Formats: sequence, structure tokens, C-alpha cells
Amino acid sequence: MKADRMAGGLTLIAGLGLMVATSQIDILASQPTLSARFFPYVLALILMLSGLALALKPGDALLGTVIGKLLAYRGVTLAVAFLVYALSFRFVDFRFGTWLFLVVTMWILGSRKWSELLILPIAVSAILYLLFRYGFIVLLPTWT
Amino acid sequence: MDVISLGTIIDAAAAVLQLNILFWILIGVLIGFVFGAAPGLTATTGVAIATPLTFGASFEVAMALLLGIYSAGYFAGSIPAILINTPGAPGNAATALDGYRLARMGKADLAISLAVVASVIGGVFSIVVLMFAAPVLSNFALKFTSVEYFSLGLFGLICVSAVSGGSLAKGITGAAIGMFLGTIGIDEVGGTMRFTFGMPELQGGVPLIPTLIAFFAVAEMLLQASSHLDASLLPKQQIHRILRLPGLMISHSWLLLKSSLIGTFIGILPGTGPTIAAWIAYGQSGRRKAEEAEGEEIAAVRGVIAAESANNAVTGGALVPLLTLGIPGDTVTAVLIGALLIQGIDPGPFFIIEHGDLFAQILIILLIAAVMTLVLGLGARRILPKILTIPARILLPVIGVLCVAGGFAIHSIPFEVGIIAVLGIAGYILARFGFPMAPIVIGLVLGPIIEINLRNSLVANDMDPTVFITRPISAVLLIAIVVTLAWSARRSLR
Repeated sequence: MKADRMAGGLTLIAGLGLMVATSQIDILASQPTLSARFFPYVLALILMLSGLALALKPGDALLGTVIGKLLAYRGVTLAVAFLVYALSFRFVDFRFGTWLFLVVTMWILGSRKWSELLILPIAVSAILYLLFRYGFIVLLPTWT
Repeated sequence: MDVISLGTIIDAAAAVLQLNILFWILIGVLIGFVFGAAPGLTATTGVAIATPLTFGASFEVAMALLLGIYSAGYFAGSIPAILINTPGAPGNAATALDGYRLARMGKADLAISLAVVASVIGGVFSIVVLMFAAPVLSNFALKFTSVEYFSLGLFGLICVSAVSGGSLAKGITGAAIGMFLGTIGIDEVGGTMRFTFGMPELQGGVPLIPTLIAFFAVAEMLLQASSHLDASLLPKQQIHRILRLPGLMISHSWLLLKSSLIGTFIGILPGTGPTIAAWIAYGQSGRRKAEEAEGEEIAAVRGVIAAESANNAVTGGALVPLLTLGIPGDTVTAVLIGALLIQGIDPGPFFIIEHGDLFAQILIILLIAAVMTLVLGLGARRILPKILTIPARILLPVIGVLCVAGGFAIHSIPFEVGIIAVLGIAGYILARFGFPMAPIVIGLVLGPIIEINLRNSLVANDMDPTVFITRPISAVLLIAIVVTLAWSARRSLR
């Protein structure tokens, strides 16, 4: 199956979803111009049409190839680590969270030297903390 | 034009020619070198990450840092293009063709030197155009009504959808996604909620800078991580004498001028960017004829000069619609809108009239950044390739941390950090399916402009839609939209 057929199908569904969501927007009874629904309706229509165009005239890339690249070990694990780091950002001390994120992601991306894994994350998290705290006067989350 | 009188320029020079401002321009240029030269990372990524850091900074410092990255980043993408045939950014793809050819001849040093000088000449040319064209266009833009703004916004969006790579359908889908993100929040006209899904944080809309960081930096970081890009094989270089450069430039002065003009003009068109400018200039370089008459080396020299001067001439050109109409000329200027808003400045036709001093400061900072790019680029051209050897396993995690910390630094709102993560991963998935990022971001910026001006135009004209074709500027822009769409659809169908 061609990747664009899947992308086109999903775009078409997204357009339909937007159409439904747009119909739920409250509008004022008497408005002198186009309602708040008009523009999102147009966007939904554009999404549906472009989705249809993609599905009907797909490019050469195969779905299996694209999914294989999308789910490549490094990309996915880095994405998960990044999501966890970002969503837990407010709860975790910046210095600890950043150190842990750097150690984990450097390991994921192929770093195996203990010296590199030990020194760089500590140095980078400390430098960035000091830079943001005293250079840009940004209060990053801390436990103390 | 009295808005940038000599007195204003002198005052601006006094404000900019200070040690701390020069220091921040230098930092910006160095960051621009790193982001431009690291394959996959771009000047846009660098500016997107650095923008939140300017929150507490003065206007001069913020512009020094960001314009330094902008100016140097567009050139530095030519380094990996020349040395490993991998453009640092899409705008340097044309450079790779002949730059890498020179490198294979053992003349990478000559190619990098040419790229530096041509980039700086193109950049300075566009700054001069910006200096003279922007005030005139700004005055002209005062006559624009919401009808013209609607058509111009739509034109910009169609341009970027059509030329940003991939199929037209994907470009338009990206633009629609961006515009959808722009509709989230309280409707400006009716005051009703749209797509906030009960989240009060979304009432003010999707925040611009975190979204830019997500689509340009995070998505790119994830793409690079899954692409195993590691550049360490550098060709051996012959040392080239810098004294030979002026002669080469003079003998190609017409080509330089023509390419700089192309780059500046493409930059002025809203929503376009360096990629198309570089390819058009490369196509016009006459390198094929030169190859037959003067040999492969001179043909390659012409190719590098044309592509790089046009590529960098986009910088000043793209600032023209931003500073006169509030409409970004390319992706970096879309990010710069966020930086100007952080400074409390709303770019548009009143910017130069009300802030002539700040406009002059921008010009001077751009000129200084160009000079620094020239000096550092030529001086360190044998060291710069070392940037390519920074391993991805170190660079990418650090960029991830900068995205999160930088995103948090804007308003200290953790929700915005969450937006960066969620939209960044969404951007990665879209990019893997071949959807270009530029239309999404330009759609986010231009979507609200298009919608509000469409609604205002209809109110002001008794809901008569023919106003868009009866007003001449709008009619011309709409015709240009139809032509662009037809050309792009034909190209896609082939």
C-alpha cells in the first residue's frame, strides 16, 4: 500500500472530524459578518479535498517503508523520552531531570563511553541551569 | 524618506555599536554557524530555540542574537553541502551540486571561500534594498485595506504551499493544519470559544513560539535521531589563496548582481524562501554554457556564486514584507514575528513610521552580522568543518533540553512545554509522511490574518464578495494565486 493513501485517508477523516467539531461551535444569533464557524468549515473542506487528492494520486513511497522509518528505534525512544521529560518538567528538579534525560537519550543515540555519559550530562545540566537562572533570570523548577 | 533620516541612523548606530551588542551579534553568528552547518538543523531551528531566551533582553540584544543566527545560518548550510554533499538546509541544496563537485576536485577550500563571499555580497545587497524599499512599501501599505491584506495573506500561503517541497496536496494540507491551529481560542469577532476542549490554557490560542519550536526544532531533532546522520568523512582540501577571490568576484560581478536580485525579489514575496531563490539563481547562472566554454571548474564556481548569493539575499528581502505588512517573507521571519511580539512590537505598516530608530538598528545589526560572517567565515573556514564532527548523540539531546527550557522561559507556563512535546511529535509523524513543516507554521501565522481580514472586508463592503476582484491590487494577487495553483497542480500531476 502507498503511504500517501493512508495519509490521504487520515487527512480525509481529520477533515470530517473538523467538520463535526465546527458544527458544535456556538454562534451569535445576529452577527454582521461571517460566523465563527465559516473559516473552520472551509479548512475542513480543504482538508477533505487534499486528503482525497492524496489518496487518489499517491506518491511512490510505500506505507511499510514510511512506518518502518517512523518507528525506528532511536526516533521512537527519543520521542518517548522527550515526551516524559517535557510533561514531567514542572514536577522534577531541572538539574536532576535534565541530567537524567541527557544520560538516557545519549545512551539511546549510541553513547557508550562512561566518561562521556558521566561528565557531559552533569556539565550541560549545570551550565544550562546557571545560564537560565542567572543569565536569563528564569526560575526553572527545583526541589529546594 | 524622512523616516530613516541620517540622524536616526546615527542614533541607531550609537545604540548598536556597543560592546555588549557586538558580543551578542558574535554569539548569534557563532550559533548560526553551528545550526547552519550541522546537517538537518537550520537557521530557522536556531532562531526558534533562541527566541524565548530573548524574553528579558532589550530590543538591541534580542535582534543582535537572532539576526546574527539568521545571517550566518543561511551561509553555514553550504559547509556540509560542499564537504559531504548534504545541504545543511534545503536552501543550500543547489550549492551542493557544484560545491561538492569542487570538493571532489580537491578545491573545497575555494568553494567555501566563494560561498562566504557570495553569501555576504547577496546579504548586503538585500539589506540595501531593505533600507530603501521598506519605507516606501510601508507608506504604500498604509493604503491597504483588509481586502488587500486578505489577498496578500492568501497569496503568501499558496506560495509556500506550492514551493515548499513535496506535493501540492501535502503543502495545502500543512497550511490547513496550521490555519486550524490558528483558529483555536476565543473568536476575535464573536467572542465564542473554538476548539478549546474545556482547556482554559487554550482560550488565548495556541502559543506561537512553542509551536514554532515544536515544528522546527523538535520534529527535526526526532527526524535526525531516526536518520543516523553522522558526518565525519571530509574530503582532503587544497589550500586556496584568499587574494584570488576579489578577481573571481569581479569577473562574476554580473552573475552576483543578477543572483542577488533574484534572491531579494523571491525573499520579498511573502511565504517563499531561500530554497526557491537558490534554485532559480542556479538555473540562471549560465553554468552549462560556461562548462562548454571554460571548463568544469569555472562552471562550478558560477553555480556556487549564484546559489549562495541568492540564498542569502533572501534575508533582507524577507524582512521587507515582515516590517512593512506584518507578513513573513520566509520561515525565519515567521519566527521573528514572535520575537518582535515579545518586545511588545507589532510588525506592520506603522512599524517603520513609529519605530524608525528600531528599523535602523535592524539594518545596522544585519550589516555587522554580514561583516562578522565574512571575517569569521573566511578566517575559520578550515575550522568550521569541525562542526560536522559534533556527534548527533550529544547534539540532539542538548537541543531537546534547549527546546524544553527555552519554551518554558517564555511565560514560565508548563502547559506550553507540553504543547512543544505534543506538537513536536505530531510534526515528526507528519514529516515522516512527507508533509513539509513550513506551510504549517506559515499557516499558523497567516491563518488569523486571513480570517480576520476576510470578515472585516465583508463587513465593510455590505457582505459583497466581488470586492476582492474589483479592487486592482487584490485582483492581481488573486490572479497570481490562480496561476501559482495551476502551475503547481500541473507539476504535481506530472
